[in-house]
Amino acid sequence: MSSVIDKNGLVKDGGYLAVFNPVVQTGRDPINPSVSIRYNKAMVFKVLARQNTLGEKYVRELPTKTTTSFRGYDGGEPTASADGCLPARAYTASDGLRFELAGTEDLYDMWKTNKDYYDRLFHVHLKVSPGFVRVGVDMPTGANQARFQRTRKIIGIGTDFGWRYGYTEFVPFPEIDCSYQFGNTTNVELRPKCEFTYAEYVVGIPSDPDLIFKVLTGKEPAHKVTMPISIYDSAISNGLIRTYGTDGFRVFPSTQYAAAIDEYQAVITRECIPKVLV
Amino acid sequence: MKEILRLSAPTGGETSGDFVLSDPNYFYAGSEEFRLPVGCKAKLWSYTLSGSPFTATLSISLDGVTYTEISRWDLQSEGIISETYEGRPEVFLDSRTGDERFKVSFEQEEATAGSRIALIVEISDED
Repeated sequence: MSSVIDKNGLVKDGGYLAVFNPVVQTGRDPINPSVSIRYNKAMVFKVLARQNTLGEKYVRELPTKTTTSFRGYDGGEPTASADGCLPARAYTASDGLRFELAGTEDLYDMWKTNKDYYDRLFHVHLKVSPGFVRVGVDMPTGANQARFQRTRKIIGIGTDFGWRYGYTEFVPFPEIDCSYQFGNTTNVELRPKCEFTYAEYVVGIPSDPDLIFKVLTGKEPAHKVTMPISIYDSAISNGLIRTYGTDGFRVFPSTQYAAAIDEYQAVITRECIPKVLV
Repeated sequence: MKEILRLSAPTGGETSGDFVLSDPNYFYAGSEEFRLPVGCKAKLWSYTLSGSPFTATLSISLDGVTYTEISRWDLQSEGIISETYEGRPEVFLDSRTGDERFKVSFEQEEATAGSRIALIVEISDED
């Protein structure tokens, strides 16, 4: 276990969190601009503090109603017999589920905030019981991004693979809608329990390019979470830019320190909204 | 992933039949069979038979159609019998296709629903 996270998998005060974008992008090589290279980006955050560290659990039933739409593994459109149920041989409809909570910024999704929350970031571990319920996260809402062989084959909870049993870890960003998928391949209707272990971090983007480089090359310990995406939907980049001014820092090889520092400095000074920097 | 199911059911009001197994924590209603999630194993940690004499039979199906008996337990007189596989649960079904399932049947002399079975079964995708 990385020393930056605690026993619950949450970043400790003062630690770093890197959210990796697995979608490969193409651009000019900063060392040889005539050459096109492929690269990834990541968001880097310093966790200044954590709110409510003594009570970072939230347990509830699955947010389904008898009116919730499902798709059947054997066809048809199964329905839940009661609120909180996941029908037999069924998985959630394409727009998935969201976790409503009264009094929150977005009444339909407790994890959704807006750009005014640039200094806050949720980091969520979701454990579902029974553990053989399939779980997936769609970012943005309704976009199943599970793919095989680049983007050739669509996979996910409604197919043979491309999902997890009973657990997922995610970082919902402000301004970006997410939805959650659940699947039950057994022949019994289930009453799943959803157990969130979460952190509400007070965060900022480090203004030191050397630190960004160290985090992204593994020289500075950080906890890494990968976005659940295969396609870089514009809703994601737009949401990140609205909130932070940038959609991340290019991940450089550890041998390209000078080029990385130049580019990171440019991102920090020209792209990042000043108030997000620490 | 591993999950413990506490499956229990009374014998029906017939001399033979299938238990309608239910786990009150996770099942909305009981079922006469349980279809394993693909890639999972079913491991038996314990069984308990109680009440009037009856015989319970654990059967598995690999294709969802044909069942094969793999274990039989007898409660020979009024009372209770129980066996726990201490630390070494028995893997009795291993799913490859997602069609695999198991069920438990009963046979009793009196057509009364006075006896009961309880199973502790682990569903796991780990060894």
